Amino acid sequence: MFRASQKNDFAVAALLLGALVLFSLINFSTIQVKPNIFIIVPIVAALLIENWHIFFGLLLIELIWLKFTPFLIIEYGIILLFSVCSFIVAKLLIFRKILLVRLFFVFLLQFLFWFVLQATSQILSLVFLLELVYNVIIEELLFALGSWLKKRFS
Amino acid sequence: MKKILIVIAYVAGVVLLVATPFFVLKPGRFVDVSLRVFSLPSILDELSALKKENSELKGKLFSLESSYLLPADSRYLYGKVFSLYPFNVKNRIYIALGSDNGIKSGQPVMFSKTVLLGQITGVSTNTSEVITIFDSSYSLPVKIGKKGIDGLLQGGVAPEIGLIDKTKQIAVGDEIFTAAKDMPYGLLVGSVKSVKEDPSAAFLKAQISLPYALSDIIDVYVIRDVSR
Repeated sequence: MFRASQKNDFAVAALLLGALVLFSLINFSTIQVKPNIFIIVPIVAALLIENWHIFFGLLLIELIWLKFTPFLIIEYGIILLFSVCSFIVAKLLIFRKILLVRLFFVFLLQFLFWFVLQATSQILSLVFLLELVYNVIIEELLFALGSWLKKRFS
Repeated sequence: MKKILIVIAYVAGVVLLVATPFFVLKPGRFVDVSLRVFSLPSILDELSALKKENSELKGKLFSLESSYLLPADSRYLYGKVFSLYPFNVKNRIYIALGSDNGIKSGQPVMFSKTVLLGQITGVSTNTSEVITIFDSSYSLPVKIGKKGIDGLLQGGVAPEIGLIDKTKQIAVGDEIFTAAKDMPYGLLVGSVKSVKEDPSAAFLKAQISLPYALSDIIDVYVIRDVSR
């Protein structure tokens, strides 16, 4: 029914969706600092998913899941924009298997997210650093699991 | 990856082997454990309700001792929290009360009837946005202890009181209460957890002990008609 590459992408999308639901439901936080799973998932998806239909399907579900207000706010737009940019940039990256590239990717998106939401005064804070550490750990775990899944289904 | 899975399987096997005798020796143990796991959420709910009641009573006691009048019961609007802001950039909550219910920007939002949580910042027809004391952009003039020492509440993941005069004495456990002109005087915020004394700084800083965590909050009270 599906081609092998589509199977890979579906497996990765299912993993990321599971992680998204799990992290947002358990409300994981330490001293009230929580990882930003809504930017980690698009990054890992952009790095691992090749089929853009599946990527945008995942993004749509993420945005529906994220919705926490009965009206539209800028945060939804930022997540959408960053996710699309991640997908385009990731397809241009030839060094996506290098850890430092991925770390920089996570840092850049988190920095821009805080910057756009006018939280620049808080960027030099423990909260930003802790979130970055959480983001990097979860991104690396999901990337490792996703890569393993891709090999398994290929 | 295969090696990691084998190690995980080994660890799980060892844990099972060590744990099994305890379960075998006490046949009812499985039932006990599962009952405890499944009744945990209700215990946690009860705990948070008790915490809320306790904080409300403490606030009432404080109000009686210090003779600050609390707003009348008719001025409180009860509302449910329907979402928390999911990112660390801000610490806000969204409540199911809006302009249709008489909500206006700036009204105080309470954890219990006596303990302050934040203020309304945005209002739509049926919902409102609340800035909490955990938000780094929130600040509020407060007073500390029975002597009413001035301080400034500075919001953040760990809110603290700054600008406390170094010559004044504050102690751990002293109540912190509101002293802003746009909300009722004497609403409890929390109590002093610890005092930071930096010889090079001009003012003292105090950490706050709060009777709740932001993630525990499921309902709030909003005080209407702030001017007395």
